[in-house]
Amino acid sequence: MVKKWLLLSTLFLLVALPAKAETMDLQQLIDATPAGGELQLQDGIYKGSFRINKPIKVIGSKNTILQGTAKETLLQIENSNDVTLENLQLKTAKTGIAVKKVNHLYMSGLKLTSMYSGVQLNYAEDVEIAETIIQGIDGHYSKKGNGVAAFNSKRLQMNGLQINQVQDGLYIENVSQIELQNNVIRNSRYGIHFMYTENAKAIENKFNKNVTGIMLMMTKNTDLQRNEINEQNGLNGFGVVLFDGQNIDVEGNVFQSNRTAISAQKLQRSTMKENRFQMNQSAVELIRSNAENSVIENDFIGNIVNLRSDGSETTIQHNYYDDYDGIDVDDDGIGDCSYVALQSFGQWMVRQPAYQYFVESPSVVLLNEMDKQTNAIETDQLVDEKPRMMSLQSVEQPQKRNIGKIVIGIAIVLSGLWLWRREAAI
Amino acid sequence: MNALFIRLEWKQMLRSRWMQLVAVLFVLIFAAISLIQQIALPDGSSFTRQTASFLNLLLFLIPLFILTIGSMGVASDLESGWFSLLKTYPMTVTQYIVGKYIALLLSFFMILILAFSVVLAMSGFTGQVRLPLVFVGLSFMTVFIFAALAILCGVIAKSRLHALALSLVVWAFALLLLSYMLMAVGTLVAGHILQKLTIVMIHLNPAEWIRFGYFIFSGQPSVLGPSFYDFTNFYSSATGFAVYAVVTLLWIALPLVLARSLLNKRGCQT
Repeated sequence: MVKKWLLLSTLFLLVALPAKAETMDLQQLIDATPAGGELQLQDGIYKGSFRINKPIKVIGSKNTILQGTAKETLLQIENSNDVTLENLQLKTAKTGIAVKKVNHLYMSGLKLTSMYSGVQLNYAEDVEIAETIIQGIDGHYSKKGNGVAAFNSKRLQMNGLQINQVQDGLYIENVSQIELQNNVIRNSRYGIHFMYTENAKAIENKFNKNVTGIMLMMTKNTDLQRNEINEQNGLNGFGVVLFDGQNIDVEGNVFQSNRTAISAQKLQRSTMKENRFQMNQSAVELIRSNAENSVIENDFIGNIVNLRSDGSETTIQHNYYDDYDGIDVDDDGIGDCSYVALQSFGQWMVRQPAYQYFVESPSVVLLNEMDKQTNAIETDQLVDEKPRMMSLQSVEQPQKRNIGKIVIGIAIVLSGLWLWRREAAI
Repeated sequence: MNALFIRLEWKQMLRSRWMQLVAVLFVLIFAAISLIQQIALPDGSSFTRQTASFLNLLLFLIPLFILTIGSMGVASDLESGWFSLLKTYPMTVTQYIVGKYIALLLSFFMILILAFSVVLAMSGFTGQVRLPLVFVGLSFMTVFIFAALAILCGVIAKSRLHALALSLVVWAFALLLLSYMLMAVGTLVAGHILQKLTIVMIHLNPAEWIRFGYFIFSGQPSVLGPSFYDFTNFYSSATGFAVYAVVTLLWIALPLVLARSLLNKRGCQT
């Protein structure tokens, strides 16, 4: 009998204890940690919603999971300084982390999944978010929130974030001094959405298959440098939209396979320099632009339409165009005659979207060739008087021999020729 | 009888110097464009100037060659009395039309296969040349449709020269003139009317139908722009694919049926 009881007790402990250890009250642990202290969390699931309002370091382990419900915020950080969160997995919440009136916040190694929106920052200063994964929910963009949304904040840094399937990857409104570097944002509405922001930098980020890679509106003094902006090629796809911005430098970026790589609208005193526009349907679209904007030293390669505008002025100079057919007799690297990007068809498309059906159709290709002759005397619109003869960068292709393809290809050619000769023989 | 006639026609096609020159020209241009463009650009799945060049090469050259060679072949039969001689054999007009059609198909399939094989071999050498399957499919579809139209042109024409002229007119209208006319109309009418006229033209112009097929089957309907969102959405669905197949079959069958009926009528008159 005693043995039976011992066996049953052992079984009870084996089954029940781990379950009890999995669900712990994190709020009590936070409250019990002194201000400025460090809270080390073991592996396990911490259910509920939690609040931090004092300086603290919360460090998770390999499988430390904070789990909430789809109706409330999982972790609130308010009215505090010097908060650090590391190695935490946050699951199921309306908002993963809501931050309000916090100075010096550092978050790293977080993973946020199954939530309407990831991180919200309000009136935050000196915040750094690093190496964090945010995976949004399925459904239309209108039915989900942003990866990270920052409002009315200063001095923010976000590095190494991987954001997928959200409304806007990084939504930045009324923020000054923000640096976004090495982030990867995919399958979202806008990769980065700047609104009323100043002194922002987006550097070496990657954008893929969003509706728009970077949407910049009413923003000043911003640098977009060395980003890779690929495959924003939906019906309304844009690599970058610059709307009503001032002093925006777009430099050293690669735009590939976008519907429109850059759409600049009402832009002022801005520069697009040393970018590579490759295989886009339209590379640069200029609407209500002014002469203080410049498009210089870029490479235009394999785009259907390189430059198009509504007739407004922009300085265009020293770009490389792969369809430029001029020559360089004095060998100074600059073509001897101007490159005229003006195409009747390109202008029609800007004014009447239904014309887009004909893009690069046989009739339009012929029309463009005629345009080249008639527009050669154009001096005002979309003219680069000093086109470069050589690209800044070379396209490097891996050389891979495929013996199978060579053998099959040659075998079919030889068989075809043999059959032709045999059948043609009298 | 019909198999014998097809074999005979196919042999005559292959013996034709014109056909041999067309084969060399097509293979050379196809290989050159694929190599030059692919070396200049990295691999990508989007609609670029390279894919547009391929598509335009397909739309410019294949219809031109098929229409001229196919229509002149039929017109020559009628003009030289070869067709009258054939009628003395136990062969119906339908068998004659089908025989000519199949021989034309086989000859151009052979040219396409040669061109694709050269590109395949080149892709093995350089590792860069890529030929999307949708191009291969559409090339064969182009041959199916324009071979039927070529037969019709040949039957309508009164002489070989007339057939050549008629083919060139059909080719110019399909590839260039209808588009220019529509673009010109677009400067006078509102955008939504231009959009509807374009949709009508896509169905009524075989060259545009093939071009439209490329965007649908390559999964790039966005190239056509937001104005055609509903239209491309429909044709990207299963029902749309079925309608596309039906319209394509009609573009093949109707010219052949019309050619047969015209030839029957002409036979009765002579």
